[in-house]
Amino acid sequence: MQLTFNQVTIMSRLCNNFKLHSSSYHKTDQVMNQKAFLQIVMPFRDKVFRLAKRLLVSQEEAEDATQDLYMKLWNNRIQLETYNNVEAYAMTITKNYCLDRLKSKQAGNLSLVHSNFSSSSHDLQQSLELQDSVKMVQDLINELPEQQKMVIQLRDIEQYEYEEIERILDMSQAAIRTNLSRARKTIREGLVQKHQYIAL
Amino acid sequence: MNTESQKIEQLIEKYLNAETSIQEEALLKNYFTSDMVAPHLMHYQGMFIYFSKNRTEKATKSLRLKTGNRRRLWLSGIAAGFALLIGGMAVQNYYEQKQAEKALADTKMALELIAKQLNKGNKAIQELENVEKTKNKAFRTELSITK
Repeated sequence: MQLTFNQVTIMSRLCNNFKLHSSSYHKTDQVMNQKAFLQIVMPFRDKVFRLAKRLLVSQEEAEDATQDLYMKLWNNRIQLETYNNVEAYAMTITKNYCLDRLKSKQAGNLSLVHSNFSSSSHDLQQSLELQDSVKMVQDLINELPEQQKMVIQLRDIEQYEYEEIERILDMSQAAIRTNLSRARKTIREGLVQKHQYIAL
Repeated sequence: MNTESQKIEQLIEKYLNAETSIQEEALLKNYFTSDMVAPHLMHYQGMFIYFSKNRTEKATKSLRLKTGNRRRLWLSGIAAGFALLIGGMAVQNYYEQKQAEKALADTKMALELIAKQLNKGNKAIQELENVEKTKNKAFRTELSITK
């Protein structure tokens, strides 16, 4: 009642000015950071994707997970500068994210979609038998418990040192080696059985 | 040749116990992705070929980093909402003020009307008083006559 119409319009105009000013400031700040951010995080993007796919199995879900995780990294970009190993941090949040997804999936009684294995990339020179056993390795890994899947992924595919895997998975080196040994032996067993079956 | 496959066998033992280094594992990978794999070790081939193939798999969707934008959208949304609120309040204020002014004018008019009527009434009363005065005069003269 005390404010006249004019006073109010002036006030809202001031508000608008402030809004425009702050948003343009935000824009330059964002452009400057985005480049630096991408330089830090892009080199390990495919590793994040592959770990996500190892755990979630479906290509689509792994892509979505990667997107979500990079959004998370982007939102935490100020803190990112304080981490001495951003890649290990990214792999850790990937692991946590995917395990959470799997947990909520089990709770929701949703089944995994085992679909996206592309065999199209196989060399034509490889024998059919070899192609089969390559595909079989994929299936055997899919059957492994999560911990073993992760150590296989991080060691045999991404070739991380044990110290790095310790940091990513927050596990002792002994536990990592045990899981890895079990996983490798399980895969070997599967392949040996298949080989014997063919030989018979 | 024989010694090489023996060396590989030993490495595989170490490998299965998770005791090999990254370098030793690279050796195994190289051996099994070559064409020189000894027949009795063939069944390990699928494993190492799978690993090296999987390592080249890439994410195909392009990343979107729109959080900044989304946050800006948020902020401007809030600002717009605020502006709308203030604007609404202003319009309401203005409207109320106008209405008050109108009411005041109406009241004024009504009062003026009443005043006018009252004045008319006053005149009538004055006239009545005049009648009374003359009447009194007349009566007084009458009285004095009878005395």
